[in-house]
Amino acid sequence: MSWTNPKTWVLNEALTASDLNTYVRDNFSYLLNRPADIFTGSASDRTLVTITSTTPVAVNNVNTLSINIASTRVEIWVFARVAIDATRLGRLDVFVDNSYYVSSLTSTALTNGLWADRAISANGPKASFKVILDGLTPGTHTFQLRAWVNAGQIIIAIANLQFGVKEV
Amino acid sequence: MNIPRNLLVGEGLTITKLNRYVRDNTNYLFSRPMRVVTSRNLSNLIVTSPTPVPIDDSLYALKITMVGNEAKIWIKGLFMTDNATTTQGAAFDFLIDNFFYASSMNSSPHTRGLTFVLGKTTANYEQSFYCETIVQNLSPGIHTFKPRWFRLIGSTATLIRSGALFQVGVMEI
Repeated sequence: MSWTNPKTWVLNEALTASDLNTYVRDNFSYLLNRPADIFTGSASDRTLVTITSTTPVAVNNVNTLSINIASTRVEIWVFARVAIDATRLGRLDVFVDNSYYVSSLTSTALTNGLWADRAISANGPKASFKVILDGLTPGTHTFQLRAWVNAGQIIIAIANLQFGVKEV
Repeated sequence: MNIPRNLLVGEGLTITKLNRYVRDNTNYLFSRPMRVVTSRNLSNLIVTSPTPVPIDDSLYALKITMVGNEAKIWIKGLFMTDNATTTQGAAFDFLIDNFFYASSMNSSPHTRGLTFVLGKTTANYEQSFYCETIVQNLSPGIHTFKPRWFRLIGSTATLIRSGALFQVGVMEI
């Protein structure tokens, strides 16, 4: 169901079935199931995506998310299991509309992106976070998960990954 | 938001009621009260206090007007300690209405706050943290949520804002 901005009823206006269907049925259906797109790795997918780039690159095997929103804000989340080489710094960020990063709101990610971790030893920290992104225009937007390291590598387990976006 | 009421048999369905209970309430649910503050690439902050102190109330004090009784609060940041031990770190919490902490629901926070971020075994190693919780039994009306932090066991804790995103928020749910 699509969202239609609620109308103001005026004096002597007839209450029509069409209005009730649009402004009550459809809008409440929309609010019950707000736009969302979620990538959840299959438990049987043993793919480990290795990234050695020192600048942000897309995480292979993870879908670019797309939602058509009526409001201006979304919640973005990542739950992942990653491994980073000892002493190295791994980072994650989300690239919006092939244009800008959530961390910086510009085409260049902040140094530490949206999530960062410097590993004591080659290990598997959990990368779990949510963030609200506001100021979007109503319409369709895309969200791509990106990763990079300062040196060495970051390995992302697809089976343990969820990457999502939802209008809020 | 207007508390939905029962319409009675024979009661007129007026434009006032339609606008109040359909238009206004639908708009309210579409844009629930939310306050989010996001810092990007500001200078780092250091805490040495063993008791809760503001992170920066001039920036991060959140205020919303609620109709319901529950709010989701969250804090997201990047952190490190200057000591190489996992027994040290910092705790984060929210002071609500200048009166009680989200961790304890009373005027003293839990020993380790709402979330406790341990240092790593190498000093100055960065680690992201995220904490989200739901506060219940709030009264309808205006509420303030102020992020607090304190260090534990002698470490100096740094909230890394340089080259990083720091976000706190509250949303009625």
